Amino acid sequence: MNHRITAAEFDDAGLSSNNNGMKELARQLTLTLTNPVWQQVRTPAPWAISDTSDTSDTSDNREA
Amino acid sequence: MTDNAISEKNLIPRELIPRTKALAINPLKASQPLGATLACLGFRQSIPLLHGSQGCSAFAKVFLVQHFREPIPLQTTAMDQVSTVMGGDENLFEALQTLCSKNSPALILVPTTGLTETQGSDVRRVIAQFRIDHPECAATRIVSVNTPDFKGCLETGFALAVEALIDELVPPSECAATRPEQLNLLVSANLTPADIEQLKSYVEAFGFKPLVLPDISDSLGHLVEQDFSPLSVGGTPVSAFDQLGQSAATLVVGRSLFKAAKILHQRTGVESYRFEHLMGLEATDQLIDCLRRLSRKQVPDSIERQRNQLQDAMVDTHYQLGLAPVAIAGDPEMLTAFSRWLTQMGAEVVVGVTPVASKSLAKVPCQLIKVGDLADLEALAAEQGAELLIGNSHLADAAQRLGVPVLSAGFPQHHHYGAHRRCWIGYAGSAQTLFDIANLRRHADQHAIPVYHAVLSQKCDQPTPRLTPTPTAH
Repeated sequence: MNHRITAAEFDDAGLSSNNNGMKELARQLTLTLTNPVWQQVRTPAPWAISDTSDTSDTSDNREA
Repeated sequence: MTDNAISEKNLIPRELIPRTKALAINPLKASQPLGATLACLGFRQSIPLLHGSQGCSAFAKVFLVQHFREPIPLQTTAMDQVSTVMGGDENLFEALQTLCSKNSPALILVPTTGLTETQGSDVRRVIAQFRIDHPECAATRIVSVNTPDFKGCLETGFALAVEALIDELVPPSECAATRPEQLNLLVSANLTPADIEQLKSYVEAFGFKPLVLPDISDSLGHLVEQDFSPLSVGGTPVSAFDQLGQSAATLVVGRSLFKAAKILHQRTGVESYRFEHLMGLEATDQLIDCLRRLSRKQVPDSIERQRNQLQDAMVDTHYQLGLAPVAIAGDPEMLTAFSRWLTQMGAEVVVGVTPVASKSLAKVPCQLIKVGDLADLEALAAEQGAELLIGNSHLADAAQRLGVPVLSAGFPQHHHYGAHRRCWIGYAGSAQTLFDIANLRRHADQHAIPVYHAVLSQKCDQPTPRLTPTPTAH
């Protein structure tokens, strides 16, 4: 098989100086590090917080 | 800190562009009479009677049959060229007479159409006259609702019908909470039959007995045992209107029904609790917390487990949803629900297209909102580089032209089965939405870098086999 790497293939593989691979890595790092999911999965459920004070009212969604 | 930055950035739409075209290309809007018809189908032994030409009801019927794949009872006053000019009162009178004498329905809902609204037909007077002339039909409740095609959309038509039904059929009472185990649920057009079932199961898990208004989960989507029924099969019984005033509370899902809830509250004094939508962790948490406080019971373990599973799904799929540019087409409520939920997942809703402007849109976390049609969505999605479209079946062609995946949601969906059995709300429904979007994006491979093979490697760069065989051209 006589195969030469073309410039495009080289670029796609993340090997050139103008590489998409590094950009993609940066994008994926950003999306994980800045993702709002982390805070939401670590926040306890509202009933877990206010379990002790059950006198609290339900006015949040009540009609004004 | 970082997530605050993201959500604040998306809090207010940067632009709200009004309709600019004099026509609709690839329309997004489903009409108001269609919404009113859908609401009516949520009541037992009822029939919608569209006051307009036969074409108006034929279109509505086709949409409903294709989406729900059920026989849909729907009648029309069959206005023709003569009655359009000379007045269609006789048509309506005759239609009411025929329906009452033949089928004696429990409820007839008369939505008007663009034709009769333009004509200025006085539907209430005709119904009042019918009441006087035909006292033998007193058992049938007849309610009219003004739903011109040229205003609003499916969601507003549905809401107008619920408002009219409550206004007409709920007697004033002061016996709120005399049935402390009963909860009223007002559910908007945005909820599928499966959504309503999920909502009912949450309510039942806290020991309440739900009274759903209107309950399309009971009327659409089950096998019809009779050979033929001229009326709706299943749904909320019309007698339920008398019991609404005895409930412990009313839960309203969907902003479009807030006005209906207000009427119910003023009439009966039953406290109402509002939820704009029930998609995602935060929205469902609010519902469950409200039910917990109303019932003074512990949150059942099964619900805690579902919550945990949703959190797991959020972490699992965040790679595919984070920073994903999404374009959504739908009625204001659907647009609000999806925008909020996906923004909470770190996605960026770059374009939202809706058939009607609504005040609530100002709070939707969407970068650009356009009042328009699916052609607008296609153009804006291309311009903004959207990588996922969300909308009804009519979006399929646009998605193909853009070469991006599409998540089918909203009304109508006729290109696949089970649209009405799809649950979007609650912990489980929200998790399924995440999995579906993640799968669509994974298979679309929008950010894939081709695998590099060394020159001497025996491997070749054949594309990985897709799950669905690609059709070959002949």
